[in-house]
Amino acid sequence: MTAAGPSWYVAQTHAQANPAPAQAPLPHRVTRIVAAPPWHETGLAELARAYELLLVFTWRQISVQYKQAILGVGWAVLSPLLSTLVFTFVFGNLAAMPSEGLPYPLFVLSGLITWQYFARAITSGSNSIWGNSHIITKVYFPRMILPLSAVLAGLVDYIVNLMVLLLLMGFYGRAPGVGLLLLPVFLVFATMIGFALSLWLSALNALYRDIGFMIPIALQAWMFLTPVIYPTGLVPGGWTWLLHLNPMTAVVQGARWAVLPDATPPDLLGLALFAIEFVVLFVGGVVTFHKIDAILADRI
Amino acid sequence: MNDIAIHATGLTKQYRVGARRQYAQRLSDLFSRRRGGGPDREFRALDDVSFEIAHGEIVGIIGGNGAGKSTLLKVLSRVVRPSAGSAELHGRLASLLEVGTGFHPELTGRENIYMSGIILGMTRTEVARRFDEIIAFAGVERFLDTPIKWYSSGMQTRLGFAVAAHLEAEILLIDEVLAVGDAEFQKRCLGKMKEVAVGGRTVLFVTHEMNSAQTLCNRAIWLENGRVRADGNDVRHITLEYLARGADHGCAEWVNKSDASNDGALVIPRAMRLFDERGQVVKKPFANNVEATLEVEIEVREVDPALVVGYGLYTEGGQPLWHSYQTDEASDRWPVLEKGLVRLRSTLPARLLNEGRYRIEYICGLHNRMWLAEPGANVASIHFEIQGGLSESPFWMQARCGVLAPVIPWRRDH
Repeated sequence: MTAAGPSWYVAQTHAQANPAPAQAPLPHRVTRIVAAPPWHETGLAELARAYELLLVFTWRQISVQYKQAILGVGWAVLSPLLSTLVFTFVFGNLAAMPSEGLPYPLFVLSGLITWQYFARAITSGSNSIWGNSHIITKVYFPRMILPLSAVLAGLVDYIVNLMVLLLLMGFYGRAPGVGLLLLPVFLVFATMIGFALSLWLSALNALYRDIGFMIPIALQAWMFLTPVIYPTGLVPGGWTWLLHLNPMTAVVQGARWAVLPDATPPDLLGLALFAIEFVVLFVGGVVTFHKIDAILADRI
Repeated sequence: MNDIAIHATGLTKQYRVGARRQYAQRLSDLFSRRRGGGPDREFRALDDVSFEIAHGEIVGIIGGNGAGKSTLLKVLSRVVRPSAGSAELHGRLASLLEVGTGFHPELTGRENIYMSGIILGMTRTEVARRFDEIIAFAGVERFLDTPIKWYSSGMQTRLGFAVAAHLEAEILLIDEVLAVGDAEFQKRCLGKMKEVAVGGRTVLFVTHEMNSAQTLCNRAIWLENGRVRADGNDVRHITLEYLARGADHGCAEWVNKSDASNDGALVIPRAMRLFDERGQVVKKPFANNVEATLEVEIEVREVDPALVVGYGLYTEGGQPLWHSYQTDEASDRWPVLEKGLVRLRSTLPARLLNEGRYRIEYICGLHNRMWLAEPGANVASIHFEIQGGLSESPFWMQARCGVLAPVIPWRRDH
């Protein structure tokens, strides 16, 4: 059931451009419903046109998130601070972890906020289809909006977290350099990889709920494989390939370096691997999502 | 300009039944070569359905439970894919498979209007333009900034319908939304739908209410077992034929033939019969002055104090006359429902119904909580006909107009 012609969102912009008469409206568009759509209709083009719906879903996710919490957005301030406190105590003080010459709390927090943005993206992204099954079974829209909006909704928390980091930097007398201008780039990288993975996970999770149980465990392990609480220099030479293979290494390092110029910048090999891995994950994700989307409403 | 709005060719939707394996089994399926569970039975919810609908037609889709009505709407609204066949829709499409699609209980009325409107296919500007109309139609002006979880269910329904009624689409697919809401609001909805029809829009709607089908539609499509049984512009004729389908095999008796042993229902209707004075199942039309007895046989799987069993009585045209439940009298007179097979009896008063054909529909539910067999869902029905016996008066030999024909005494005041 994929539209062959322009999607209905296009029809809407038509209607806006020349307000159609109430009587005898001209059919602006044709929807073709078929059993199996041609392979190239993956829904990506439709997704690009449905930006208004994307905004609505993102806003819905954000506004619902804190509605019933007494502290509301305060949690976005507290949760990274509390984690930083714990990590600083355990790794900074007890284990005396090196931190690339930065105060350990700054080192951890600057990595943690990027990681948490990514982890939130995966967690809510993977749940986005299952969690909206009541809408999916009632109305059609490009389904990819759901994982994408779930990922994007985490940006609000990220921005709050970033403010906390900048304040803490002020406390330690550190200022960000011009590198800060590159921060959005790494943020886009985190979003891209989060979306690519969410395509896989949201579709699979809708069919097999086991995915949902595996994600927190996997994320925890993954965080320890990413230089969030330790610097890359700590990893023995024989194991650096593992860090390089991890696409989040370059992202976390890059975001940290953008804010704190003294930190280690991401290396080119890491960035190149990130690019390759992203393309593979994204293409695979689109194909998987598209396949499962076809049977989704029958199965959830 | 092409004046065809919907063109469906050979739409088929196939489901596998009995193949819903549990997780553990599915997992072991992954590891074993032999797929367990035996061959899957296949079930066609839609079977080669074709039709053409012109712009401006108001089409009522009728048919019994499981006839494929809702599946057809789901396929046309692109929620599910057909297994075979294709369809072409010309014009902007909006589907209303439920009232309040996209509502979130934590969001306010205002937020939800935008939310639902945009999810259903409007743009922000369109919602903004019609915002005042929507809130006026729903009558929720005072609660706009209250989260809708504090709304009564009636208010939520009204708000949902108000958004839906103001969608700007050329083709509207509607699934039984009229089955909800209070009577006054239903009337307004019907009015709104007529307005929609006059506006030249194409409407397809599933309905159990033959009255609304007759008043609103200029075409009816009757689905049976996933196939088109009848399709035409004589809506009255098709609806009457549909309602009479049970009566063909002379049925004042309904017996549950399906083996529903593995579904989780609290109560399963087993049989429904109408007996005459001599205790025989009614076979032919009977007189108005004869008292008939209705027997409802149910299997109670789980006893619940809120359990309500009864029936709805309808005219041939589908107009409801009354609902009656085993809990209608003072609570100390209610029949006790125990686990197992229970037979409930109730009399159909003599000297009340006019000549004509009637339908009794089984209804069951948990009071104020949920329906187990909703009025209109037509889970089980029996039919009967009344002829003659209207009165001993020489002046009242022929049936008069009206649904009821009670003999009411007149006396002179001295």
